[in-house]
Amino acid sequence: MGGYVFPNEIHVNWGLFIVLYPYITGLVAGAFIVSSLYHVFGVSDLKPVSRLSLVSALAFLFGAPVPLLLHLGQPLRAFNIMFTPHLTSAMAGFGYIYSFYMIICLLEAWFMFRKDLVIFSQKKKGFAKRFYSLLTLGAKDISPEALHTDHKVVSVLAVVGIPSACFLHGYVGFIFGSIKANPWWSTPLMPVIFLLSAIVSGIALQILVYSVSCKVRKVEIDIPCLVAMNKYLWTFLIFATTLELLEILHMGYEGKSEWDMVRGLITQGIPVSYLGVQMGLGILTPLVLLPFGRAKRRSDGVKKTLTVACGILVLIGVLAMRFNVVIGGQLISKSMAGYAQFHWTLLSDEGVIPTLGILAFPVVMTLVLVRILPPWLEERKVQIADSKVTPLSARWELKGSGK
Amino acid sequence: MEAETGQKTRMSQKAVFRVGVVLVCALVVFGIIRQLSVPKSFGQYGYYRGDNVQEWVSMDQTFASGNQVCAQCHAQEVQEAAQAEHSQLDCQSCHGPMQDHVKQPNQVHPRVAGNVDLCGACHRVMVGRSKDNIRTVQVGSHSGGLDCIRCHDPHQPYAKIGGGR
Repeated sequence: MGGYVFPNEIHVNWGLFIVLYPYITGLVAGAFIVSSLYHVFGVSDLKPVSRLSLVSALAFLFGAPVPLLLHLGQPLRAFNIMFTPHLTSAMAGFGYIYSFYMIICLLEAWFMFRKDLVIFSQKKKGFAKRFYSLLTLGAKDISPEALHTDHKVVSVLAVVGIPSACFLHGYVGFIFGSIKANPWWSTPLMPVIFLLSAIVSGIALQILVYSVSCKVRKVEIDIPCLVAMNKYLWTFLIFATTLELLEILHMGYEGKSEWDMVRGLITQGIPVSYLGVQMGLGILTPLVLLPFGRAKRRSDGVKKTLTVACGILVLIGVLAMRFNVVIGGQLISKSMAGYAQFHWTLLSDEGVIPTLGILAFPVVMTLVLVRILPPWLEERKVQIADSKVTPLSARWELKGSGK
Repeated sequence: MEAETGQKTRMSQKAVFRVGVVLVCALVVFGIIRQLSVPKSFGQYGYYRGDNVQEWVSMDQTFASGNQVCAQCHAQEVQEAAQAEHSQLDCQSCHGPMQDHVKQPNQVHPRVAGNVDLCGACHRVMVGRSKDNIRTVQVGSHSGGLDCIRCHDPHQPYAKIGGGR
């Protein structure tokens, strides 16, 4: 490491906060996809986590712009990209893309939880009663016809939400992929790689959130649900890994002049976080262990332990991937003759402790939101339809409410 | 019967209507805030506030117009500097903005700090700073805590130390 770097490259400007930005955004997109797998694609095994996924997607969506705003230093300036939109700047598009997705998520959550809101507004007392009454917007009709309309709207929103989620995270990848001066970033595969790693991290997050919530609430984990998430995690992990390896192998095989710099970055700059954490812990280990975590002959305990452990590893691996992309790309000098150095700090200059604080924010938001909008099926005592859920019609809630 | 069905449909769409109203209200509020907060001259010349150009034009000048202004009173220093390593620098690169001093030479006397912070801005060893183009030192060990100007005259950096490098 070392060599010649330009003076404006010595300081790594995009620090750990910017590492968190694609990480948290990715978790949102992934969590939303898990929710949609049930609501749109009719994967009925995922029913126990479908509402929880939407709530946590919403909570993480609230947390997504926090690292950006704090990185700006002047958070109020963020509104400028809304008030004076710039049509040729990808980065300036964030405000509108994020807001559109936020509206879709909020609407979907509102229609999905409207019945609960109405019931709470009738049963609760005092401030809570007024609060839930306000949230219902006065629409307190929970007749079967009204709920049927709700479901049609939820289905439409879920269908619109999937491309929106893909667009939001694909867009984050596009920001990096379109920086043509940076060989570590510049590839049209970047949006797809970001999207797939986002889905992977989102499923892993749901495995963790669901398991922890069951543990806290002292409820048995639904094994078919966990196994389904295990299967989807594994499948998407294979796609994500294929693309990540394809990108690097393609770059290496082409052997363009910048490959030497990229190879140097991988082998000397970020070997631990790239080869060790991202590839070894975050990809290889779960790829091997996940099939064991859903094998029929394994006990439920083994299934839970292996799946949850793999979920944690994947979450760590994807965080390392974001670090390697964001920080790694800034370590390569545009002079192609040297590498900058990243300095870890604890407190100052986007240090580790504030970064952990930002990471904790969406977790706390999830805790708050599940208190306001309890997504637990058991407590709703919903009669789940025996029939398989068909795509575009999540009927379980309607049937439960209609009887 | 038909009337009842129609009534039910209207009832069942009440929620959609209410949400629609909230969204439209949010859009209107956004539009109003945008109208109030975007400066009138935004976009006049380009993607920025047009009035900003006039504001810069009407700002007080803080820097004097080049070394020739300094030479009117400080001819010897300007001449010395012109023959040595710092010949390409403007006086105000180190001395700071001097327009006020030019206007009121006897009242305003800015002092330049000849310490390692000032000189180190150019002469501190840095990764991206080539030694071929600029003389760099580890300022801490090189100066031993002394101000640079104890040994170096910035106008003729090597004169005080016998011309040695």
